[in-house]
Amino acid sequence: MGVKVSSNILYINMDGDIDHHSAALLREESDMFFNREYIKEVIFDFERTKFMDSSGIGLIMGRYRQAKYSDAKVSLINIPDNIDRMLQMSGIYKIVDNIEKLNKKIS
Amino acid sequence: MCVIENKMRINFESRSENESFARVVAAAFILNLDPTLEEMNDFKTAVSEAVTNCIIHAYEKTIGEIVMEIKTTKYDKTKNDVKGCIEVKIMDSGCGIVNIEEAMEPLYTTKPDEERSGMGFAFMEAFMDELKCESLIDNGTTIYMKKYIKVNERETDTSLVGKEEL
Repeated sequence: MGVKVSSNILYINMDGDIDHHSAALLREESDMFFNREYIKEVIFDFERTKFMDSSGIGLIMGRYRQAKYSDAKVSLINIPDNIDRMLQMSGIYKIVDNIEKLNKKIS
Repeated sequence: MCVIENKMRINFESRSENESFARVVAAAFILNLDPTLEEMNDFKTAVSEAVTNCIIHAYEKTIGEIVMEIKTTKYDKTKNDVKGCIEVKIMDSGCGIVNIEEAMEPLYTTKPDEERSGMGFAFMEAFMDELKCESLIDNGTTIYMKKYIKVNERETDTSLVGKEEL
């Protein structure tokens, strides 16, 4: 789990279990970068996500709002099937700029 | 019909660290029903949503007690591809829900500033087969959920049975 910035891209690694507890930590970390640096894109990486509940959806929606303030893009990558279902139900796909499912690249 | 029943009950404090604890305990308890990975994920998500609600809504900034009860039933004969069921009750003695109908609506949340998505009840409903919610103001809330576990491909495909043993 962790957040890092490289070439003005904020990477949020959704590793392990994303629940209310861990989402709060990721939110804190990414807020720090948002306040400090110019961000042109936010990438959520689900490659090593084992579990996620609605707190993960809240985390993405919150970062989306922040990103739109500074006209940054929001991407979701390496989405596994079980998380794909939750993202679809929540309507997140309708607002984010770029979606890449695990093993199936959509350009 | 002969059935095997098993029950458990735990109580724990409403701290966010305990969300993963509750989830892992619940998952371990239902393993004897041999659910698929998808059924297991669905169940864990539903438990996580209910427990999170107790922590952030029922007790808000205070620490209270959450009780989780799980009952598993394993049928010896399958009926309509169902081989067992899980019943789970998650109870708190917190503030209660003023309007349950409104609370259950997708995207409805009283805490948008805390980045709550308002999808908790929607996920519980989607991932479980039954969902009931009882709540009394200043008395607490009880969530009751039921999920049927189906016979999976692994068990019905007889060509795989022999191979698995090898």
